[in-house]
Amino acid sequence: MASYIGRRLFYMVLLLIMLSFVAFAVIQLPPGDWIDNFIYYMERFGVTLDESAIEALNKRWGFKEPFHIQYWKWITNIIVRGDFGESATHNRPVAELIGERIMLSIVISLSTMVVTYIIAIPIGIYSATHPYSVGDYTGVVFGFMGLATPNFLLALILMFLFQRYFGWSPGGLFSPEYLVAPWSFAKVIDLMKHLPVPLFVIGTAGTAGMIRVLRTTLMDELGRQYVVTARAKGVREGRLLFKYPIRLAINPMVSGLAGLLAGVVSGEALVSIVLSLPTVGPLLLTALLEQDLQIAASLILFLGSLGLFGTLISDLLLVVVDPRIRFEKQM
Amino acid sequence: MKRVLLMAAVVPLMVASAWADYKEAPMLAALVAAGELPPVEERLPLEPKVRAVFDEIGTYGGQVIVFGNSPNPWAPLVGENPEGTPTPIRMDLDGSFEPDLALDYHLSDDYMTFTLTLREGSKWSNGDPFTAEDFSFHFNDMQKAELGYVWAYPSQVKTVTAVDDLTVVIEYSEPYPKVAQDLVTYKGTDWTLYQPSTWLKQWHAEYNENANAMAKEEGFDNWQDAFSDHSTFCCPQRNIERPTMAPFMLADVQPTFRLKERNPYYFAVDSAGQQLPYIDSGLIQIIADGEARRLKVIGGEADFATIPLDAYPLLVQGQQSGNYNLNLLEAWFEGTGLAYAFNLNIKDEAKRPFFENVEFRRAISLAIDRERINEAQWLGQGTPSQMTITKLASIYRPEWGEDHPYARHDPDEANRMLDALGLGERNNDGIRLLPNGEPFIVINAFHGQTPLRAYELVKEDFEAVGIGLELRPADGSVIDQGMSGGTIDFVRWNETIGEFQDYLSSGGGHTQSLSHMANQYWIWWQEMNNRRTGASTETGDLPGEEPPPELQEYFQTQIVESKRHPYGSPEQRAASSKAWELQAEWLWNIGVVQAAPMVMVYRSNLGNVPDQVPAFFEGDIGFNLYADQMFFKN
Repeated sequence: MASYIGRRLFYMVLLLIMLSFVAFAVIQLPPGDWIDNFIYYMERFGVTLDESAIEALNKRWGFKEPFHIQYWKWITNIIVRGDFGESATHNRPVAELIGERIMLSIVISLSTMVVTYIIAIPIGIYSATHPYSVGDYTGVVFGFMGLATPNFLLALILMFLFQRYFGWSPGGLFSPEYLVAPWSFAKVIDLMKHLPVPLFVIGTAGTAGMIRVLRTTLMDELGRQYVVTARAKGVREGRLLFKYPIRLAINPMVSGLAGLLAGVVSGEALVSIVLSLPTVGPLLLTALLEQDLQIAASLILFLGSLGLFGTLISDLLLVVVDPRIRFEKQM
Repeated sequence: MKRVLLMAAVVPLMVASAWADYKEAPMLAALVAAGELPPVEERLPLEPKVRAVFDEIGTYGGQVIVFGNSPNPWAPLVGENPEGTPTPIRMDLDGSFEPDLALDYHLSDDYMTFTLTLREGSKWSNGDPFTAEDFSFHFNDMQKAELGYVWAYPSQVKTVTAVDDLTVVIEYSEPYPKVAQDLVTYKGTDWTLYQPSTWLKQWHAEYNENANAMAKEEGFDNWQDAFSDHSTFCCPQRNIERPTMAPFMLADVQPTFRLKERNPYYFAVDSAGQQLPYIDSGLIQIIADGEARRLKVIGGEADFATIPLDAYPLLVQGQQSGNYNLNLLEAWFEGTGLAYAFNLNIKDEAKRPFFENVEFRRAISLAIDRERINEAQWLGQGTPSQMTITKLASIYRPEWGEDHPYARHDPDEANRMLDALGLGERNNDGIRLLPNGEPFIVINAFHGQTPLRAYELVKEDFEAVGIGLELRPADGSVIDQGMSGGTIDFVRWNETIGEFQDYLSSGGGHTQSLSHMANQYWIWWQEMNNRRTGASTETGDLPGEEPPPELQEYFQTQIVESKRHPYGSPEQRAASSKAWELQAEWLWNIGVVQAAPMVMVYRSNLGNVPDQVPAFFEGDIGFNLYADQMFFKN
């Protein structure tokens, strides 16, 4: 077991080095850099930057240096000092930018996950136990609608409806009057008013997929002989259902942990942008669009490492949790 | 000079006796009472700027809420952007100039020496004195010493001297008539003209012997690094503590908002002696998505915003419940019109002869149905026009714009002209064939969404005369490179160009499009001109390609002739007119619609809101200049 973990860790380090290189290189592939973008942006504002200003920016950010020098500076700073560099767009340390967004990203992702489970698991179970019934079809139709509607569009529509009929300020997590205010009961109420839309919007996207997976695996299990046998022996239907088939059907959700770790941090970028949620996703998206090298490369490296860790953890967990895998290994 | 000194001596006495006591905001009075702030008389200069308000004397209080789209400094009313930061000289809505941050200014008759007299006792937002040293330090200790973060003075500046605390003398290496015009823009602000020297000197070893130790303590390798870090103002502002001269100073920066608070040392008062600004604070909410921002504005969440015209019907519907006023602004905004340029230096040898042929450009101009585009995108409120200076400009002539011979819609004539150019062959889709047999498809790269409807209609118009148009969304820097690199055929350019803007910019305005879309020609001409004036000492072959004579004449008129004389002089106006005549004749840019209004949204009880922006701003940021006198009526 120890050598297995050791080997896995060694490969992980190798992968991380490759990942850092690719992350840094890929972002530099498109022509131009952040400064070209900035010049273009300023020109649209009617400001023509003088040579001196452009030079000052180049000197400050060093984007015109050769690739290997930029890469070496970046990666050594990370390894030696834990310094992820500075974002040109924000003119602040990358670690700080990620830091101030990460908590909220995790909170929103975890709570939407809960929402997804709350909606998906009952519907999935009902669909599997009552296949081809009216209820099954209704659930499936709603699930697919959630899957088919682009999330950002759903977010916009909901924002409009909430504003029109409830007078709630759309988007963001707080109304302007509570944005700066210290925490209070009223501020919590205000936050509650802003949470349903993002939770619902991000939640619905995952629901459909989960309903389908649960329905299929569960229907598979329900046809198995052990279920028939149990039923023949007179085990009550509810007990039968929850004791065995559901535990098995939920397995794929558990092994999905691998992608979860990175997903929880990065969140839903597009929806977050529409809803003005200060999470990590929009940070990465805008960094890629604006060619903000330091943020983009650091975030890709960071999320990539989380992905690798997630895989490692879920592999180890599966060995521990699933007897079938455990026994397979021993044989 | 004499007059200035005399004024400086006499006026403060007069003024000081006129207002025995100034008034200040309650929030500041509380701080003074608590002993945390000096009294208002000590915070104001001896002779504060007396701001003439638009409508009425205001009352203190309130927070103004606006939206920004990114962490960058540009935001309406209270952004940290330099436009709206006080400048020594200010341009009024009527185009007149008057001293603002400075008490007086003087440009010598030979345009070689510029003298600024500052207000005695004016202070930065942290209480540091604002003196001539702030200017000379910026030039000598930063720009010339190549230290810190500098957006430099123009290359023509030879020396910047602090004659005494209140007198700055700037000497030029060649006549520089547009210095006053320069200084009313961002070139007259704490980005490019002066720096908080007292504050910055803390990190400078020459002025603070403990600078190195302090740098180490703050985690820098040496004082130079610490100095650089603290001198970085752009973009966005790096240090919250960096003092400002603007009416609002940065108080907090978060992912979702930036908070601004009043500057207790702001140098201006109203005519009743109340220190400005009236408004206590500003909240810039960062909403990245344009649609979400629009929704919030329609819902009445912004105290001030400007929005493209197509949202007007919805804004009118939401006006009652949203509690805001609407005003249609005629100004020089992004998105208030549309013009295009073909890439004259395109690499594709088959297309290039056509793009360079004025007959081809005229034919395309005739193919565009400007009325239809104006209706669909700008609700018929813009002016269908050839590309030229805005119709609001004093030198504007209708035959350059609305009545331009090729600004009408005549696809039949366009077809005839294209046939005559040797493009008679078509493929099965009706697209004309280039001499090399390829279908003639123009690549139109664009950035952002507005005005998407217009883009699509232009595409239809192209196709109606047998030229294909491929709309290709791309990022700013990609377009930038594609234009100069000669790989993008056709790009949308600034449509509504202000007169003042046109004068100020050396490579901007209309020339901006040519410097990108005739990049090889521009490089050649620029270097030729630099060698002629001695700015470049290079020898050998000129880089780029030699432009055709008419383009050389245009560059000469626009870049050289029109800048030799002060703004508004007959010589300047004549040269500027000549440049626009050349554009009308050669159609390097093809105009579609210009001068469509922008919708301005502002809270019903917001007072002293101007109904126009000064002529030199393209965006709503021009209103930042007036944020100090806006107030909430009770």
